[in-house]
Amino acid sequence: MPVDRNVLPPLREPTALTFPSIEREMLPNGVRLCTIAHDQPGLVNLVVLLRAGSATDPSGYEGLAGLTASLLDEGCAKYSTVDLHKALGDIGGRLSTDVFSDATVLSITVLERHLVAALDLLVEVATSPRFSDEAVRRVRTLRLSRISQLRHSGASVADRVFRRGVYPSHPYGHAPIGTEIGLTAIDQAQLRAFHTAQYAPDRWTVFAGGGSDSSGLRAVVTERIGRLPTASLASRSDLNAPPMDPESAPGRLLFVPREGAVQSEIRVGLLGVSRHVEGYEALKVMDMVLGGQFESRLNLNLREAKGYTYGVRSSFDARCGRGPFVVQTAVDASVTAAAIKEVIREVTDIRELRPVTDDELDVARSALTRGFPRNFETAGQVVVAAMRLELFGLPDDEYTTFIPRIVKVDRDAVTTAAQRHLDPAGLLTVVVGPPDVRASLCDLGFGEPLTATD
Amino acid sequence: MLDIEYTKVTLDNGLDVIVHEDHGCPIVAVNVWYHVGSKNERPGRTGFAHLFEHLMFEGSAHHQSGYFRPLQEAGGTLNGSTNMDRTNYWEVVPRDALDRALWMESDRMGHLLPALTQDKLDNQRDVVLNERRQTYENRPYGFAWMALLAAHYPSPHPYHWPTIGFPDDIRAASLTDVQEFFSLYYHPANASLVIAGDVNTDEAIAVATDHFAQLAPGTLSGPVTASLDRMPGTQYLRLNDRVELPRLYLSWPSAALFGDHDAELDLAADILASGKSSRLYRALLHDREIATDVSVHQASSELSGIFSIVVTAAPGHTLSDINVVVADEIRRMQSDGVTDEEFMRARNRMEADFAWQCQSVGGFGGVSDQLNAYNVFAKTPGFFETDWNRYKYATPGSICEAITRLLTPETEVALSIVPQKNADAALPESELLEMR
Repeated sequence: MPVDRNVLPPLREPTALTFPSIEREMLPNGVRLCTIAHDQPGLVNLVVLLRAGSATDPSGYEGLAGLTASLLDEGCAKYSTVDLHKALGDIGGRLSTDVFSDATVLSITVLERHLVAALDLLVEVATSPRFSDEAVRRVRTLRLSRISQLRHSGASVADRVFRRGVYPSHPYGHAPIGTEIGLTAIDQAQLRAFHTAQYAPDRWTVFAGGGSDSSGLRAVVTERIGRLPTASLASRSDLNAPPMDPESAPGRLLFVPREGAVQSEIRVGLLGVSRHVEGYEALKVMDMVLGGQFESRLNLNLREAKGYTYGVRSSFDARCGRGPFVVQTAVDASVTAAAIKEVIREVTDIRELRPVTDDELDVARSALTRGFPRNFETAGQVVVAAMRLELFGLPDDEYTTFIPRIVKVDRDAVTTAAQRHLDPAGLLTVVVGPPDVRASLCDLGFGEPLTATD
Repeated sequence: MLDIEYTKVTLDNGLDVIVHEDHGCPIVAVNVWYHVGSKNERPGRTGFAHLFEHLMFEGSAHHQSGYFRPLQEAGGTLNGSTNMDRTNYWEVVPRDALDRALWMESDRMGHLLPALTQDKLDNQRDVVLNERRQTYENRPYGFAWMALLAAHYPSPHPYHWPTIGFPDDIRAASLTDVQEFFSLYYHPANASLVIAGDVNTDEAIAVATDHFAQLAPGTLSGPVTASLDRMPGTQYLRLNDRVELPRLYLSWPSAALFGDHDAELDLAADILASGKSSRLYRALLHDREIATDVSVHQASSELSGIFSIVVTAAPGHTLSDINVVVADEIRRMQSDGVTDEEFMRARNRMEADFAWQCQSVGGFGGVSDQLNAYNVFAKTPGFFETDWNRYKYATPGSICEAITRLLTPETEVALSIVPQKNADAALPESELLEMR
């Protein structure tokens, strides 16, 4: 029967989500193993979580966690760099080593029939890197080149200046790749020491999921990972505590001139929240309304009404410590000042002048609750979700209770979240744009813009 | 190895409807392809297919106020993209919002124009100009691909211009152009719909029929054809850019999608540059340390393809240093062939990639998108096995034959992108290009 074009099909109740069960086990060698019952024939996903990321870098040695991780596949006890990559190729495996502010994550996804070989390679690279002089020098040089290349990307410069502005002298103030000074200062002994301390088996949490049989998977992983030597007592130490909260700085505007730029990269934000913030759910809803999805205040204003930009979005990066809140966009250089005014206006207005409406609240809650199950489609997604529970110390029913918790968020809670976490007086604005936009930035209430260098 | 089951029906108005059941997650992917891309444009009117893609998100006759909200509030995620050959649109929604997703897709397929205003066109033109600035003009090395297309496909070849279009053409697009474009290409006979996920096949086909069957059929325009007519011999080109390190793009016209040697060139690309044991990574980054990165890619489209080797020079090294080593490696591969081990590794990675791609029902490259790609380009959604067999039955010999035949100086385009202050790092006698 032809459809009625005058009525949009109605919304249905959100589908409840039950997160698959996580089987936890402590192996005799101190490794914690989590197997997630999410069968998906074909591929298996293996992840090792180490709770040491770029925030663990000692001051003056920024980039240590990142350089350590990037040297894991550059030769280990059993294989040279080239032979190791041949072995990975033999099983069609792609090994990733990702360093975040609070964690280093090693992962490999392979066809089920290569599970044992993948586990052995993962153990090999994580436990016996050579850190040879040759590899350290070569990889360090590559990373230094990368840093100098990023200096020519307006977006990266804006990110870097913003990060430093929100976190002066704080471990969240540098990216995992580190700094030129830090990378240059790191030596082989430090890499070895960092590896010994942070990669000891009693610091590993291993996550496994996917394939056609989760109990079979668990048995194989237990057996192979169980072969790791027990950590020596000497290397045992407490887990790295999240970094201390930095001071909130007063609002200001930093300008980085970039000759010939046809757009201005803009970042507006401040010191945000940790994942353990009270009222996380209300904050999440507020961010959806402000700039967390396409149909949000910021994007409807700057893109859909004014055509200033290809897109603008806001986000709270909730970490173990207080991560940044940032609005980011790139705009036609001629509208730089106007765009900043609109961003600041939206961030300010949602606190009081134009608090979230019932309609906006409904759409945001609905998007979050009805859209939630799709985050758990693949075994890879489920394994990463389980890893985040561990990283943040959240309960196993965190995802299962998410929908009812979001449903309970009301307008007052959203407005309170905006008032508490979006202080306009503390906004840091960073602009990377052509030198001639500088003059237009003087009327934004920050006085003469401070010129920053990268 | 691959068994993606599906059911395909064609409605009376010509719309293909393809359904794939996967009950692993309570979601459904809706994916629509229109067989129109920038190759359907003409000089002076470039960028139109892509600008039009933007307008498809601005509302249609029965829902005038924007495409995102009804789907976002239903818990959906959505996007679209345009390339030289096709335009695709997708949403992933909870399974019981399938009717809403199809309602929205069918309304814009059948009833877009009454909702399209000059204001919307003006606004999205500005958005697209900003997309162009952000993605190409303001990004290091951002003009590379445009320069390569222009050199490989002299005008009026329909791959000559970039999909994003030229700014003057984008500014010139009128409401009349938009209306003509819609009636030519946006109709059921030129479209293919895939529904994949937690659905029952018969029910899904019934719901799709309810929404799409009344839409008026359109007339198919014939396929775009083109002949390549260029002077033989290597073209040496140079762009000055705001970059730190020089980068070399060596490229050759190559096999079309699913054409002769297309799969062999994918495998050759893998052998040359995938992972740290690959030939070029070893030669350039590991053994000689004269480069900071290397990638090799076989980009195959409907009419033809481009095989490219992209290398960034390490500080202190010129692109001539790089070119010598790459040329040696290619010659060595052409004369000595590839080993069985190299071939097996490349094929193993391909197999894992196939499996990886099939994990998600939705999004770019997911099962629904791939079924549509096969249906549009290979005329059947049931092409997974045939596609995979191209790799399975390739041999070291056929890979060697492919690179010997295609990677010749006769058709090469060598583009140097160099910092303003270090123009000498380019290959000698490269012609300076000005991009707009």
